[in-house]
Amino acid sequence: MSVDPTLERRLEALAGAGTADREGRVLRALSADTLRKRVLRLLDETVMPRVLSLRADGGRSVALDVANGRVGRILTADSAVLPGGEAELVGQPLTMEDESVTARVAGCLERLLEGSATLTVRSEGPGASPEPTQPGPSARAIAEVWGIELAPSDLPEPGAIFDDVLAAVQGKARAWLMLGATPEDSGGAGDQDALDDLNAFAEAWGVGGQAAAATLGLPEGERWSLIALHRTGAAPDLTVIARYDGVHLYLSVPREALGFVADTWRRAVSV
Amino acid sequence: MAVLKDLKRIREAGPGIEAVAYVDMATSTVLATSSAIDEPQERFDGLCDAAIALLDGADGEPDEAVRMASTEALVVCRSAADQEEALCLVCAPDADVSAVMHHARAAFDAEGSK
Repeated sequence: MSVDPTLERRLEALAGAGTADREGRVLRALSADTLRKRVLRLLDETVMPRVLSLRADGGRSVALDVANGRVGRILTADSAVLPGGEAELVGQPLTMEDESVTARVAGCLERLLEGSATLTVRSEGPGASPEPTQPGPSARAIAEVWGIELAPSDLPEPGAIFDDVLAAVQGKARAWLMLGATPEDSGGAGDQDALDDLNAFAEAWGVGGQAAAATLGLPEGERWSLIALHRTGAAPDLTVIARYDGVHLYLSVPREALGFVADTWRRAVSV
Repeated sequence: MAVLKDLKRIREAGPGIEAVAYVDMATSTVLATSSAIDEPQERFDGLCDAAIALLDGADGEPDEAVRMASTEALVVCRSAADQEEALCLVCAPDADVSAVMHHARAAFDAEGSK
């Protein structure tokens, strides 16, 4: 029996994988809009029932029961976050029978985030599972209230991502090398020296770049990373290591291609 | 060291830069910082560690490095005047890292022309 890759990832999430990095995590942003997007993504990616405690600058806080990307219940909230009549929302199952619920939850989060540059997130579980027939407002519904377009959280498999990235950057690459994929592959603009250099670099960098990711202080549970290194003088090219799950793409591209490669990668992983 | 005095200006003048640290990689020391929001010292110590890993740990000892992850982008630029010192710039994950890199290099160039 083959398992749909998206379902497989969901099952991994249900098994608790990837939740450790959310303990006491701090979301930072310069703009209110960016912070809102990060909160929405956090809600959207919370599959397993969890209690998310959110504390903004100034001490405003709210605790939410979240599961399947939906807010099932507001457990606690400051009066600044749920003033006056809104306080009646606390402790109540959030059903969609009342059409105003999504807007009220969006308002609660908006008041929480107002004027805040950081949000400390504590994830504890499990929270209560929402009734399937009475789901609370989804991250996507809240995004609609805020007029924000939320990128899909179900990211493509590494193969699809690297296919897209390679198709876009291949023309600029003097050499490229893919490790951890099946089959492993390499190529470039017919420059064997550049490919040899890249092979030597990959070997020095560590098997598949795993060791490097750990020593570079990347947060645990990060599904992807991109590292670009440039040495002025002897080696004019930029060496790029793009990692997604267990697959690593090494690229040797001109220094001027940094912005292009970074944008291409970001589009592929939906940032 | 003019860069040390100008960290706030470098942060505010750059595209989407949230925090800046100037570090001495030889002694693992954070020399100066500027941030749009309050950051614990551990945060800047982590930037110093990252600068060391990126610029001194990698094969070929690069002068410039970018580290992008889902929560932030980090740009690190080695000083031309002192190879052991580096500027670390923390940005939002969707920042234009190429522009930030140019901004960091321009800050060093401006210092060199003084």
